[in-house]
Amino acid sequence: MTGVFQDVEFGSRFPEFSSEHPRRKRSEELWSKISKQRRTLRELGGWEENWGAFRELHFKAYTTKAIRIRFKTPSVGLDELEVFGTAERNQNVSRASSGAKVTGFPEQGVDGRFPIVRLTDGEYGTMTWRAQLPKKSKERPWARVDFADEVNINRLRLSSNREYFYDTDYLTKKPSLPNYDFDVDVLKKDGSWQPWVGTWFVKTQLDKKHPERKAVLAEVQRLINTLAEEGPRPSFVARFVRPKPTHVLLRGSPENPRDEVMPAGPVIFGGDLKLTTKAAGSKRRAEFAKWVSNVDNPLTARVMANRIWHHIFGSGIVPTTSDFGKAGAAPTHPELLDWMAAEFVEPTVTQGKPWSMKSMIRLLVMSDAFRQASTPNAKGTTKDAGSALLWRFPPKRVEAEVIRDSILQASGSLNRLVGGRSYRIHNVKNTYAQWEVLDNHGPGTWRRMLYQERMRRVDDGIFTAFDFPDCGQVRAKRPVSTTPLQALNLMNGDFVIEQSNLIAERAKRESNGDLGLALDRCFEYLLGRTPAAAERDACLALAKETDLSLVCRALINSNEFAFLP
Amino acid sequence: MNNPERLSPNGRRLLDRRGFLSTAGLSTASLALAGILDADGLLADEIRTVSGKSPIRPAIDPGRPYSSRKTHFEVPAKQVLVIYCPGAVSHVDTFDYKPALMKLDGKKPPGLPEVTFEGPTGNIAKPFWDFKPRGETGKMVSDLLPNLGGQIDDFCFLHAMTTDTSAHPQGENFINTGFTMEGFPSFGSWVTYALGTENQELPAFVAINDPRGLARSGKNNFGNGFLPAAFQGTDFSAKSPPNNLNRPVTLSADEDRKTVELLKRLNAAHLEKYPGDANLAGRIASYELAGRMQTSVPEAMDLSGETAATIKSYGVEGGSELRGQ
Repeated sequence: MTGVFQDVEFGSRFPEFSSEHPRRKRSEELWSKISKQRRTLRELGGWEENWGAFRELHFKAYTTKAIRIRFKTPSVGLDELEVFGTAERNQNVSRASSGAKVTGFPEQGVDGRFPIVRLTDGEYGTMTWRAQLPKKSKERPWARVDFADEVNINRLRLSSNREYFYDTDYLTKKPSLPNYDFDVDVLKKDGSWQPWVGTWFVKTQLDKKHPERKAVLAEVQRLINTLAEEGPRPSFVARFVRPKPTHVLLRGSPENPRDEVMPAGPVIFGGDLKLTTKAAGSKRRAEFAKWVSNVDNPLTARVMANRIWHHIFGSGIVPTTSDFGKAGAAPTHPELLDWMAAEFVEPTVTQGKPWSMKSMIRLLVMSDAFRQASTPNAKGTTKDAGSALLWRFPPKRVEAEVIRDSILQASGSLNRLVGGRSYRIHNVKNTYAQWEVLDNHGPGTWRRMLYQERMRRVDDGIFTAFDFPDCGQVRAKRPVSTTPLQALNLMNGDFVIEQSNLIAERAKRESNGDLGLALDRCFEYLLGRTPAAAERDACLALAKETDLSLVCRALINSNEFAFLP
Repeated sequence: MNNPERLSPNGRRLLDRRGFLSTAGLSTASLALAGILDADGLLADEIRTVSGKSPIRPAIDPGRPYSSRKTHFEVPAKQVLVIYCPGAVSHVDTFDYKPALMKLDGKKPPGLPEVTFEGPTGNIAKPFWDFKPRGETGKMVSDLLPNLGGQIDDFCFLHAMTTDTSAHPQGENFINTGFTMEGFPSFGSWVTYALGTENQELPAFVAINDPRGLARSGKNNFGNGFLPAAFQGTDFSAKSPPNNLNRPVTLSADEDRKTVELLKRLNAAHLEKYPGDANLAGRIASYELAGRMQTSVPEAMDLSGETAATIKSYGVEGGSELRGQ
């Protein structure tokens, strides 16, 4: 199986969105606006754009065999220099692989360890060309690129550790290129250098001549910043590399590669994909996916049907949902599991589409088993006290997310926005520092908890106690614990106190100041029912003596609120 | 007994007439059933262990999971304190004397390839401090720890621990649970499961974390794994009591008490529909323990009543944030 994923490497990339994806559409929209503004600017001379980790200098097109950049500062650090031709979009003519040659001063960089060839090697990152000349020195760093052929150019790009943000957008240090000042010369046909454009000139002098540029430049920069936020963003979804041959590692040691193996699934499951190491990475993964989802492969449907069952009934027919092997537990009802697996792939009773999880969920929640009352009876308790056979639905505590979302829903403050940036409860930190939770309860956090950004080892101070797993490791099944810390968090946490107030306010608002009606509303919001007579008396007594919000606090903490059903 | 309000709902239910009869009835029925099955030879054999003895399984009432249980052996120890220092000073610089390191100082480790999975192999470095035999036992201890070296006869060392993992979180899981993967009970969880606690005012198993943050593997270091959830460690920071221990500043003590009373009534009414449900009763018990912790934890954490000599002997007089003061 390693061979199947040999082209996938730990890291980030821009996801390949389909043409209908909202982010891709947004990016096309913004790009067309940027192009329009650029057309206006082009009439008025050169300009510079700030793209965060890189800057782009646009200038009047010129046909030349070489370009020279003279820096005005003694220190420079760059991971890449790109020069773009006008013939094709984003055609980088300075890249070494296109036949261009880079020379300059200092050729080997600081201490001879930061050679200038890195400027055009096509690699972004920490491998840079770095110059550090004495401040008093009259010499300044410069770089020259000789193109493979004469070429018409109109844009260059300087960057610094451009892909740093792929890993870390929660750090204080954002990728950025220092504001280097430099002049650009182009090589004339007669072999002499022609000064062509410079940062000082486009940033100060041109605006004096064309004051109308200012507004256009500001608009371009605004669009660029919006694109970074609303367009496709890099995600930690692995990056692709050229696949290497895959070997059996003797005794598991990467230092002892033995026989070469082909990309395939496990033989025991008939996983031969008829592929060789010549197959492209995408082909390998596509063939593997076909094998996994083939209707003749019983495992996928069985595992998935079991997981759906697990999520609905609290325990799978195979209780070890992620281990159907020898170390896993045997199914309690193998025939039922296989029937569900078959139904999942080729629906007969549900009328749904094959592989439809929604149909499966509907099938299960409409089953007699699911519709059993949760209240116990003597006959059932005697025969099966743990309700393993589902003669009743045993009450189970709901997950952290359900508790938090339900409270927000009850107070009417749940922001139902789907997608977008996660909400963040912790600070933006220095590299290697610890995160601190800054705000786990304010209005900015009133979204579904699904959208809470989770960092390794960060306890949110309220809901992590409810078995919210640390996201650093795989967890097939969430434990359900009951601890005094949960009680303290739900009784005394700021979130609960504030939301109790909001629920009480909402109830009063919606019942014209009638306390009895308002109490009914609180029960409806939180428990989906009206209070029984005895409950009503007890709750009204507290509400009259103190405040309705305290009743809400008690209801949020009640077993009825925290347990399903 | 005259005041049923002092009992947990579960306890009250066991004592009311209907609850008593039904529970007693069911228990008798199950005893009778076991008797019949045994007589017919239908009961499964107890799992036999290597020693030939049956495993000892504590009888645990989910409503009172922390109640004290008998020890399995005669033991003088009353508490167990595990001090776990992930990322601490190296064993070869402190207590683990490895003379070969002196010989190989500055050389490539023999038998290892030039470049391994984790990059080029570095040179071996000898310990930064010299070792001397200490105490009557002559245990080798480095000069880094002269004071501990003086007490060395009172220590017990186990220099035989190894693991197959080189990653921090998995290594932490391994030492605290015996498995590199998550999902297995930690030391404290096993001890609490087996023995419960005699102190019903505080959690039986407490994890006092470094105030700068949890260890890499987080709560799994003191988790309950597959044991019931009540046996996981309750985490305090050395600097501060548990989150949200105190009632909200906006509420008076009286208001707080009345909310708790209302909650008790609501939960008791709800439990009547599910008599004997262990999960519901367990959650009610957790609220009762939380209430007791509100007074017992500040008491336990208050060192102002300790004598200067005690504080000095524990070395916590410095006021460092890492020393818990």
